[in-house]
Amino acid sequence: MVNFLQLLVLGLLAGGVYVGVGVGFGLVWGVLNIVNLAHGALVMVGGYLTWTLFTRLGLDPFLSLPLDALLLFTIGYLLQRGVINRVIRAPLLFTFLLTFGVNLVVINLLLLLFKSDFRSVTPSYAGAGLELGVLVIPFTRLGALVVALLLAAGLAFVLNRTRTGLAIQAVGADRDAAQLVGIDLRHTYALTFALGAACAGVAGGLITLIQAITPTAGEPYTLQAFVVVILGGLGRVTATVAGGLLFGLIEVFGQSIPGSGSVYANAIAFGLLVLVLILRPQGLMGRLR
Amino acid sequence: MRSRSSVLLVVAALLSFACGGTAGTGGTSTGATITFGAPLGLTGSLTKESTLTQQGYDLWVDWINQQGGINIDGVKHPVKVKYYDDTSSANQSAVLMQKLITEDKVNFLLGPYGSAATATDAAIAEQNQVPMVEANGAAQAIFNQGYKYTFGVLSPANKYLQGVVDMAATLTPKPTSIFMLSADDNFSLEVANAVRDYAPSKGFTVTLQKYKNGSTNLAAEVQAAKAANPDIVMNSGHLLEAIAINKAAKEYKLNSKLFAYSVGPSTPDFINSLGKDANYVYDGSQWTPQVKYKPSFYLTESQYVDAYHKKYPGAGDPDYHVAESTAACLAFQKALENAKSTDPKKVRDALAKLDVMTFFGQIKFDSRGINTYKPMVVEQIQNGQHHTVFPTDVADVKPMYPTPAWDQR
Amino acid sequence: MLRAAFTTKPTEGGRRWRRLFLLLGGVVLLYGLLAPLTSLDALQSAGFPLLADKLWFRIATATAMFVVLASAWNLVGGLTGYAAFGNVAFFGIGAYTCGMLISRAHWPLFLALPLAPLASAAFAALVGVPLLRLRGHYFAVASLGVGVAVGEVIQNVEYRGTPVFGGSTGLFLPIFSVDNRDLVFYFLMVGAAALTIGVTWLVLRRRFGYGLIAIRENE
Repeated sequence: MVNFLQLLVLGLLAGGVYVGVGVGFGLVWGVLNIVNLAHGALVMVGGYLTWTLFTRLGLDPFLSLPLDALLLFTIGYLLQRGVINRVIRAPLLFTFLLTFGVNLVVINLLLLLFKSDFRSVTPSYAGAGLELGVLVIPFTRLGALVVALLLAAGLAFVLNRTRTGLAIQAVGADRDAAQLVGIDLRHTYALTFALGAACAGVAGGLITLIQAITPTAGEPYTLQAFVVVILGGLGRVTATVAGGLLFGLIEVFGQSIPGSGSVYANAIAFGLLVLVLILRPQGLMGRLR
Repeated sequence: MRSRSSVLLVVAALLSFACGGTAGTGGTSTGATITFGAPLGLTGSLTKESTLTQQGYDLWVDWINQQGGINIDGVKHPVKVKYYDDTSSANQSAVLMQKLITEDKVNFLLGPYGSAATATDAAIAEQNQVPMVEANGAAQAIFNQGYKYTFGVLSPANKYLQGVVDMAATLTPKPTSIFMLSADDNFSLEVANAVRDYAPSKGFTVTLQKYKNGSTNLAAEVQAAKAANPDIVMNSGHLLEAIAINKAAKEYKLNSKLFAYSVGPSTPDFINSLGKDANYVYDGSQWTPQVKYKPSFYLTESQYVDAYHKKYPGAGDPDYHVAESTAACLAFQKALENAKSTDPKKVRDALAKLDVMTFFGQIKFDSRGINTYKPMVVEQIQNGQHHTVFPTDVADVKPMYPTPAWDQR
Repeated sequence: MLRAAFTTKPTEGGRRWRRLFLLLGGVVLLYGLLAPLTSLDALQSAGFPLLADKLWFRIATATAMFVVLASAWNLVGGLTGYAAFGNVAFFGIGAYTCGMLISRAHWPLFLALPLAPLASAAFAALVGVPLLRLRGHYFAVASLGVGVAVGEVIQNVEYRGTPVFGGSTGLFLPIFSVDNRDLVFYFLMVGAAALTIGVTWLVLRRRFGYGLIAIRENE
């Protein structure tokens, strides 16, 4: 029973990271209809900034998260405005190709700057955790979960309660109508992408606390962002949160299958994904588009 | 193209040597340069281990060229190694090996890092009939294919953690249960399966839990280990996974009397990444600076350590990856001397018959081509330093056992 | 064939470029078919220069393989517009079918070879039924999911403790013993490429191909 509870906790903690990675990805996909294959690479950029600030200035990783968000916001805005905007109405394949190219460029830039060594951030409170009886909840992962949830909440707030957010949603719903009411399309597109990138940056900062990073370590996260968004459903931030936590639980429980079963964790996750797509394409909580 | 000009360079060098004639001291003439080819994972996930491999090769190249070269039948042949970066991809390694053979026309091949790349490269060496001596691919699957042109100077994978099991059997209070975590690549599985098959004969029960190779989130596996409450926790994987598991063990308070990892603790990176948390960890090692072999040629253990410090100041003591890579070069050197020729077939036969004692241990290949004659030793990290703890005739300290709980350190 | 896929009439300048491309392509093709022949012993002893060494064959065979893969993908992704990301699963199934028949059942290569496309086709038909009901992004992700899942299953499935398909070690196949092995495999791959391109050409000429393109334009 205790084991089950601990696994539950582990799953939710792992889910925290997935929520962080998924919300930005889902935003860009839902509003711009762009599947950003470079998302994982942007996550790593955030991670490297956190690592650099921690190693050179001793800045606590949690404190560097707003800086990650700022940097990635700027990068995302410029990237969208300058590059990705060109394929905004093009067929699916072109957006995939372009973002794939951006992915390669970012990864190789990171390789040039940081080499392929694995870097990790180990603050002083790294090994410590909350102990509730026999349950152990490490501080770093708990912090990551909390921050990810705050991030999702913040994003939802921006989307639903601010003019900019409403403009973004309008563009997502019907871009021609949005233009008719005077919304600057190009600026809004760029803003959306920038927000998505900012979320990626924060997720990257959280990830350095949990694992060692290297420029190519972002690839699996792009894939997992896919799964999270599909599982939860496209369209609402809360859906992505549900998807992220669910994915974390699936992964942890899959990995704890005794003996050789644990290596199927990935296969189970993807099998589930295919099943969800076939049976309920809108995901747990999303709207069908 | 770059490769074309490097071929021209080698040709020019050969021509100049042919015209140059006698150039050495003491009446020995200088022969043609012997070129070795080595694809290594200089970028990618195997960077750290590949860099150590390259250090091992380069240490020997410096030494042999200082002597004037390999002495083949009275003529000294200087040595050169051509490296390519296979970005830690086994497929890329195979393509580059073919390139080294066909375009760069290397004489012989030195192995890459890792069993995956070694397996694909061995097939290329076999197809082209060029001898390859490797030092960093211990999976027996490579040597069960009947290849005649690949030789491994290191002890095979199944021996990696056997030494730890043997040592554990001598400790009091005697541990009885082992929880074995293993990555699912073929090298790690060989190590794990060997423990699973061997340990019961020493009175241990073994539980095996696999995980995906390259995972860095191993919390669930550590939790499974914790639930089983074993006396010994082992991991079979590579450096990254070892670091991730050790970190998770501290975070989730997984305590056990003995932590042993197959690869990782011997590298300087392990202690650098983990600091104090690296203490008490054991690993099976191909070689440590404390072993006491009496070499018949090349340097002794302490001379080797000094040479390493001189060439790579600040890197600490050489770990076994460096030493075994140098040993591969030594095998070639002796084989070339014995064969008195650079003909690939003759050198291959000389390698098959080789039996020589070096600072690394005995180098002798069994009928499959792997060195089953050299024992593995057990290391432990004590107070931030590596020490040899088993077998007792090469140990410099006693093992610090049992490992104290995380909150008591 | 190219004309069928164009929706605009080529200009005079465009026709000139096209002719240039076709000429260049023809030269490359001719070289690709004749150069490897210089590696035959008969021609070597006659004094022909070696235009195709082992490295050449390795790279050229890989190129031909990519031609096959790209053309095959084009049938689904290019013609119908369905972005299929999991097609690598078919590649793997074909490879493992052939590999298992050769290494476990000891079939000769030329007997095992035809079974590979059959196995992949059967799997594709099976998986296509549920998958093709999806559109756009959803199809892309589902296809990706199938691709990843198949790879994981093949790598990990075990029977009585031993991996069925060789696990992460993979299948070691005996080195095919035939004279001019590289040449044989190279031409086999070129043949496969010719076959795939031929199938694409045929499809485009038939109503079936028209239907596929129509799906892409407006389902």
